[in-house]
Amino acid sequence: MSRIGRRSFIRTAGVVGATAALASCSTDSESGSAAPASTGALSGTATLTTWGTEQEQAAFQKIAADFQAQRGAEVRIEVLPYDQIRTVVDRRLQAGEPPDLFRVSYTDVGSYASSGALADLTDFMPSDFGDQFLPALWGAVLNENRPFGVPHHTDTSALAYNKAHFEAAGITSVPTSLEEAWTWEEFVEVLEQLRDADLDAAPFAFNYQLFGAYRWFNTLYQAGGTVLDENLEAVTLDTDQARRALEWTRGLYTDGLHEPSVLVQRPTYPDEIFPTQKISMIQTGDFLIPYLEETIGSTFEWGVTYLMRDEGEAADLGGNAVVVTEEAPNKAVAAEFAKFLVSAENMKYYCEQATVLPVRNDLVETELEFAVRPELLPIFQQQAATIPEKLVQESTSRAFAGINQALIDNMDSYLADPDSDTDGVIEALTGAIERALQG
Amino acid sequence: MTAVEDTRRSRAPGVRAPASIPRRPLLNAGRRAEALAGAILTLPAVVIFTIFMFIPLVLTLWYSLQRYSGFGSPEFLGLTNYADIFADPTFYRALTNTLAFTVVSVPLGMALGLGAAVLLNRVMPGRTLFRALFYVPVVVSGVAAGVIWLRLFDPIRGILNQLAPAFALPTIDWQASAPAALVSVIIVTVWQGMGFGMVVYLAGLQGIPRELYEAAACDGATGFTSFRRITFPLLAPTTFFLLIYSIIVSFQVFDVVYILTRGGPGDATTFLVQYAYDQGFNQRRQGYAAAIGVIIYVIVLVLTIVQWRLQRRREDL
Repeated sequence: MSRIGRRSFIRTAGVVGATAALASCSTDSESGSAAPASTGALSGTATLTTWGTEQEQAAFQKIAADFQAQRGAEVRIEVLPYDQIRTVVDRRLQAGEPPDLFRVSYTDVGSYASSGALADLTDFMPSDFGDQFLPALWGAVLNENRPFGVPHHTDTSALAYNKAHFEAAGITSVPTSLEEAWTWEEFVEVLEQLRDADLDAAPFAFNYQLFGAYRWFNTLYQAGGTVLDENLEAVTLDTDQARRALEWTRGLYTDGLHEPSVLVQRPTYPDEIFPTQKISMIQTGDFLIPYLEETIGSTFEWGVTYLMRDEGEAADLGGNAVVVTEEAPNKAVAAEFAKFLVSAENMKYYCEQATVLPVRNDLVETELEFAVRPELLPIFQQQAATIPEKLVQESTSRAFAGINQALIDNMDSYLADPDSDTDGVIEALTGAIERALQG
Repeated sequence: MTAVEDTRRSRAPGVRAPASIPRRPLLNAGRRAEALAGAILTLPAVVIFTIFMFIPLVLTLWYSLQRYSGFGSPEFLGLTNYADIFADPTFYRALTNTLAFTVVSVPLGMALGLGAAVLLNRVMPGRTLFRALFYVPVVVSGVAAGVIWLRLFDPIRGILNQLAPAFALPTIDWQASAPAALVSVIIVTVWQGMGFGMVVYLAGLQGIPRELYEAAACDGATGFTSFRRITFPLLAPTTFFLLIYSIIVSFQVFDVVYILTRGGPGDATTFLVQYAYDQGFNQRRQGYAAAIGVIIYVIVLVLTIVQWRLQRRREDL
């Protein structure tokens, strides 16, 4: 499995990008050919519907206040629970009462854009507007070469661990570089030490719940597997690598190494349990650092290390875009706010406050001053370089929402049942993903 | 021109006039006023029924014949959605789950409701308070009840698993194991529904003449014999009503399942309505979901007709 450096990630993603359109957006300009800023006065109100941690909400509020001060129009920030936002936004779109803007994962943009729910922002943007962003993520907001949103940030996963539990289990060191990341075998040994230390805590839990189900693909890719073929048209799960990834994941449950109640379909999130010290280590996203830090406080010390690896390294492409709806009551304000949100200054501010990674070329090499536990972010930044190129393509494909749903629908019965058939779940996943590909 | 004159002129030639023309204008006016008042009084109900029941029902039937994601224009498919459903193993799993849930939860809920009603039909201190306490879950929203029980069942932080070791009981992964997840849903729905059964049974119990119990006591009948020979047979109409009603409700269970298990693990607690929701809102297959809704509607309609006919037969007897 090829690994790509941070800069080369930018370049190569531009070449192989998720869509054919992506190629036309690739650029070697990392200075970001800044589009002329819009400065005209605006009036009226627009609503941005989002989810988010307190830090994310506060950052949105601050940027909206700045926008109003500069442009005159108000942008109201409406916050919904994460696991309800898609249903609520869908119903509002269906009822013809959509928010002006909403936050959406890169994996969902394609399905909204192709259904006609989103506004084509071509007329609101200079032709080189997309050159400012990492090509892969700019490609994720394109549909038939036309922009339907703006890439806002990206994030990925790493391992957060309870230092006291590690010490009690006799684990004296953790990997301090990608090269030292635990192999699957070493990782299992660590979990066994935690289990055998009788800590009254589950050793580990994955963060692949609901809309994050695709994070299981980290494991699949670490084993050398893929989801789709090179053309993103056929499912490639009927492989030894996929079997190994599935059986290894289930083995963590059957061997008492994974918290049994943390599965895929139910919203029992490991980051909610980790602060109670009932789980010793979790796979978690960088955007949860402020939440974890605030919730854990001084209860115990915790750290972050790199994801485990097998045949190769792999991490998930997280992050979100902001899109404008086709029937937005105030489309002009919405489009201007979307552009304002991803200006260098505002993206930097948002990323620093929310501890997520920027997607502008001119911020990639910039030293960000993260508000919370800044020493942890370099680990996520380095881990982001292990996001496989192929996974980027798959994650930004139009069918990815359906692929994610296939995992939600099929993984739990496999993981929770030690006697379930690996070939059976591969067949079920393949069938469901094929239906998603067919639309 | 009056209505009477008009009637006379339109009579065919040679047809004999009636001896006298009925004097009905006053009566008709009264009936018209009565009919108008009736129409006005029923209008709100008719409007509400039309908007919230009839139109959605017709639309559901219409969407069940379409391929529709919720966006854009629907595509007419005819009966394809129904054909797909009857070839869909997950639908049969959802139907089986719903039937299993019904077979366990309905008798259990009715038995507990009857027990509570018999207990609280006696003169005892705090009777009204206990009746209210039993009834409170009925008026609690399903979502709120689901959230409360979700906390209780939480395998790590939930009080049930925290107390279990103190009573030498094993801890249970309520949501990770298929049987435990189904049991958790049954527990919550029975808890929520038994208060209704209790109230209905209480009404039935209070309709049984006291003299029957006094006569039975004179004949030496024990409490259990009185219950078996008097109470239970005389509550048969109530039991029948509750049985049909509870079956209908169990086919429509959704909110508690959505909050507690989301149909999982896998499809272990996927019931028909949960499956329709999943198809409609998660998979964005709203035509398919509408077709499942129509099938649920037909099942409930059949049960309602059975109840209605048997109820009428009993009343005729």
